[in-house]
Amino acid sequence: MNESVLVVDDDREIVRAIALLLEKEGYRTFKAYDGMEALQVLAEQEVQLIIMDVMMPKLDGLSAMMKIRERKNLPIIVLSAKTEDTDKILGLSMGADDYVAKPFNPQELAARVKSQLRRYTCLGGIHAQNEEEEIVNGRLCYRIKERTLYVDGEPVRLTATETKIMELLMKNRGRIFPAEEIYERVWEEPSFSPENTVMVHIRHIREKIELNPKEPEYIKVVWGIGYKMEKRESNI
Amino acid sequence: MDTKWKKGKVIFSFLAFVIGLTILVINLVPAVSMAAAFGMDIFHSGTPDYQESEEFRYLISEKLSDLLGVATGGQAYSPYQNEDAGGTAYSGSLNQPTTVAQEDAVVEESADYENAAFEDFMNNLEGPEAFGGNWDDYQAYLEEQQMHYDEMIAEYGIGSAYDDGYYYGYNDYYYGYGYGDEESRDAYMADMAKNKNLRYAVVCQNKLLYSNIEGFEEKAGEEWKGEDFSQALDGTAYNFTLWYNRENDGKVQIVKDGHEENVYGDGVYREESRWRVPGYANFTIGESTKDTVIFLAAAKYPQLYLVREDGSSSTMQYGGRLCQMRQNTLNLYSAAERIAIFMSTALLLLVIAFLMRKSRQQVTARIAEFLGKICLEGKLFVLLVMLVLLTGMSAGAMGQLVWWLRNGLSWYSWNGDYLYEIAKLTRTGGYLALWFWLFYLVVLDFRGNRHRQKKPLFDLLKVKDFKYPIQKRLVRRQRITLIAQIILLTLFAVAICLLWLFTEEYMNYLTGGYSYSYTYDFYEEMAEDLGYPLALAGGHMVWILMPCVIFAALSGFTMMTFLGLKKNRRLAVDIGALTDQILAVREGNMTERLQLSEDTDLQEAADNLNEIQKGMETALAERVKSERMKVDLVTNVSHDIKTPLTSIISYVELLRQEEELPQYVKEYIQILGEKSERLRGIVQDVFEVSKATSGQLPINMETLDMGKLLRQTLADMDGQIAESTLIMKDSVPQEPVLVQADGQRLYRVFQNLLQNALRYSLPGSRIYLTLVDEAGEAVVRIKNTSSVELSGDKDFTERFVRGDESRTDGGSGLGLSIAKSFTEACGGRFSVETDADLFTVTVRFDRGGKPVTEVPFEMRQPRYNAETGAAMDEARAIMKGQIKAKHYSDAHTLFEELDAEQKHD
Repeated sequence: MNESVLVVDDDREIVRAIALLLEKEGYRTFKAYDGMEALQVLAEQEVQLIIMDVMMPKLDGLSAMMKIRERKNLPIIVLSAKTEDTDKILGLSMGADDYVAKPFNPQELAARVKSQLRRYTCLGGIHAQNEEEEIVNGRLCYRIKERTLYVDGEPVRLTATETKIMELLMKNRGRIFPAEEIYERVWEEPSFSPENTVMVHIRHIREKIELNPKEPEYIKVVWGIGYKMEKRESNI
Repeated sequence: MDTKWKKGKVIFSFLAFVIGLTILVINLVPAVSMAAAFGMDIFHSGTPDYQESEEFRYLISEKLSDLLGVATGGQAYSPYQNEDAGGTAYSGSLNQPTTVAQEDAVVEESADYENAAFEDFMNNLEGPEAFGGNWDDYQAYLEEQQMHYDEMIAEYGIGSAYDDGYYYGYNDYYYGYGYGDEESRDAYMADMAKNKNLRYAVVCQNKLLYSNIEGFEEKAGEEWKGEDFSQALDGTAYNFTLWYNRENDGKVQIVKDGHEENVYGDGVYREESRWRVPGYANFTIGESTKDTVIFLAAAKYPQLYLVREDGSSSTMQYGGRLCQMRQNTLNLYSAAERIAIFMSTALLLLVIAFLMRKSRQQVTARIAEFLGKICLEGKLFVLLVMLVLLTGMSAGAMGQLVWWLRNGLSWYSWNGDYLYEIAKLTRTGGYLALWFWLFYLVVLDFRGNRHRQKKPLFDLLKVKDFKYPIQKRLVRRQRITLIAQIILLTLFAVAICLLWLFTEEYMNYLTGGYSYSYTYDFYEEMAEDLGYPLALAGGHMVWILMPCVIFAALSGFTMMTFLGLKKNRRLAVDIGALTDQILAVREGNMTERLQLSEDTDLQEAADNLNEIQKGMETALAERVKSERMKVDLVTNVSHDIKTPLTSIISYVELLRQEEELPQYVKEYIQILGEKSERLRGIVQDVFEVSKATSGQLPINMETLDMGKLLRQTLADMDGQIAESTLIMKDSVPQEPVLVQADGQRLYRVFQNLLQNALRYSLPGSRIYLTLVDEAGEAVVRIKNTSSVELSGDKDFTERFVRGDESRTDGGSGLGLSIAKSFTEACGGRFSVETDADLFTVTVRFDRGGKPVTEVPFEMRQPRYNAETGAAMDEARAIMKGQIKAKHYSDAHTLFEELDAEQKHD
């Protein structure tokens, strides 16, 4: 343990609160209040993860992130008071590993930090290997022979039905499945109004794999059509 | 060189075709006619022979009958020629000479329309009886009449007064006045004797009565001892001899060029028999001719014999008929030769044209192309004019053709003016050629340009292209008038032409009653045809002027209607543009101004509409601006709230983790947590609803199944429903109900509506959720019974409006507002009804879209809308260094410094 996290925000109280929360979780923290300071800290200290606000004086978060990305490949979680999709896309496409909208749930932030650090330290160099053996999708990794799902490198306990659903969805990332099809392929019997049944299982799976089950990032509902596994870059 | 030759070849082939065909058509009519009328008779001996002509045979039989009459002591004018005159064949009885003369004159002079005058003149001539035998008086009278007659001829311009045919008839009359047969006979024979082209000898009871053969002239009255008269004549000069009753068999013997001719054939006289002479089984003769022998000999090359008589004012002409006959035959022969040369040239040209038809087709294609460039109306007009002109010009010639076809293929050849006949027929052929080429052009145009005719005038009548009924009506109203006027005009023009063309004269022409004057040559005839309408109208110029005036007036009216239609059409186009523009303004197009043609009738309307549009554009722009400002305000405010809220939430969480606090403090912290969470929700809702109502909410429209969406929503909210005391009664059909919408937004709509229902329903009551198809609309209804009393005059979709005024229930008051604005942003319709405490929300969407299952899943991926796309572009640009992010260069400098420091260390 004792990974170092750099917290950058122009709001000192927020920096302090986040730092406190993370220290309680057992992380070392560094603080910076604008992009320049953040770069200075990075130049002097060994840091494993950065939490950074977008809107800051002197050097804004995105520019700082780009500068950092020129030399370092450590995970960066972007904080922003903007919640629009465009901001999120802009942040992620410019090199952020995760995006958390203000006001955030502190526990969720902690979970994300943990998740990013696990993947950075443990799986940092691991890339997708053989499609036949394991399917990697973002934080998720499904090993086909073991019939086991790993989240951030840790195996997750799923029921038999949940495993089947995950296998189906992981194998067909990005494809939309109507509830009927999921039902018929997992339960292997004709379906009648399977929406509830499928939804219950998906909700359970979400609780096990998502950082915030209320705002799922992996198993998504395509409203009026079906369900799908969001396709994620496997190396982030 | 090569192309030049090719071009020449193309032109040559076409010229060969045109000239060949024209010559062929022109000469076809006279050629066929001549062949039908004469067969190959005239070419029979290789040289033109007048003795082979029908007229010659006619003349010979006529002379024979005259001489028979003379020999048997009768009157010397062939009676059997004129059955009407009361004469019986070879009866020898005396007929009234005046009657004969008159009939004859009438027949001969009927060629001209002045004939009535001649007829009257002849009918009014007094007979010799009126003078009671006073010879001198009668002669004086006749001389006087002769003068009148000459005057008439001079007046009517008939140049044929001394034509053999006419003079003959008059002469007949002249010598027919005698009381006694003898006197008449002597006068006749004295005239006949002067015609040395025709030699004769009349023998009765072995007594030679008359002869003009040298050596026998003086022997008149002496006994005939059976001498052969032909011996006294030069056999080569007089190659034709005829004997009547030489063998005392009552038959005719004809020898020509030393060969005896078969006169009687099978011995039965028929209409078509060559010789109309007695001796057939059915052509007998009186007993008195039994002792008569007649000899006739005709000269091979007849000459004209003129006698200037003493005591008379005129020079008499004898033997002209045979001369003329020969001349006609020579003419006919040369004409036939000419036609034959023409025809063979034409055929040769046609063969060449046929062999070079590939090159010729290039020219016809070019002609068709050229014709295609001319508008249809112009062509039709020219065609109509051509038709009228050609009909007018060729009506006579065509009438003759019709007559000729109807009356068999024979000519009016009794006067033997073949050149005139041929000229007429050639003219007919010329008209035929004109008709042919006109027809040829029409066919060429039809074949080449059938589907691509330019027709601006007819296009003017079209209404198909118009979109609005008012445009069609506008054009249709005037179109009827114009069409009616054009039809009227055409009918009138045709009527005038008919009036002019089909007058009595032309009707005569067509029915064959028309006969010809001899002297009018080709050109005069044509001029005469063209001049007929004027000539016919004569003094009645009104008949010419009135139709012309009416026609001009009608044309003027039509032109006015035409111009009016053109203007109305432009008006219709403008009205269409105006209507389009009104529609465009209605649809929200504020930028494009209406531009009508200059000096349009609708200028004011257009200007006003443009003003309205401009005003609306300004108003809209201001509204958009204010909406934008509102959204910006909300965005900024929500951002400004979010930052402190983050701190609040974070520190509440820190507090929550403190374990050594008193219980009541922990409760306080719990309350703080809940309220900060609610505040977060409100901020988010306010932000979204303001974006949605200002139309700035990104929408990803896709085809989705409304039923499935409702089931998913229900499944998603399963927990909340189960936790509540309420019962959800849903009726959602299994079969797909497809609509076009943004699934994510629509989910938020129903999520909000169901949460509302769960929150505000009377505990223990039921919530009804139905999806039905109403007239092509997918209609979702959510009904619930409110727990608090609803007041009917509230608009629940207004922001921050709630059934319960106390605002302590945990909602943001924006649920319905979000649901409404999201529904409308997706193109649906949202309504709320209250009936007592029954609260009904209705969401309607047009049904439509492809079934979801048929859409490839790639296409169902959410598309980046314009806004996210722009963000992506911006990100890429920044990363590529095209745009410098804020303070980027500062950071760069810092990095450089840090690097330097590190190295220093």
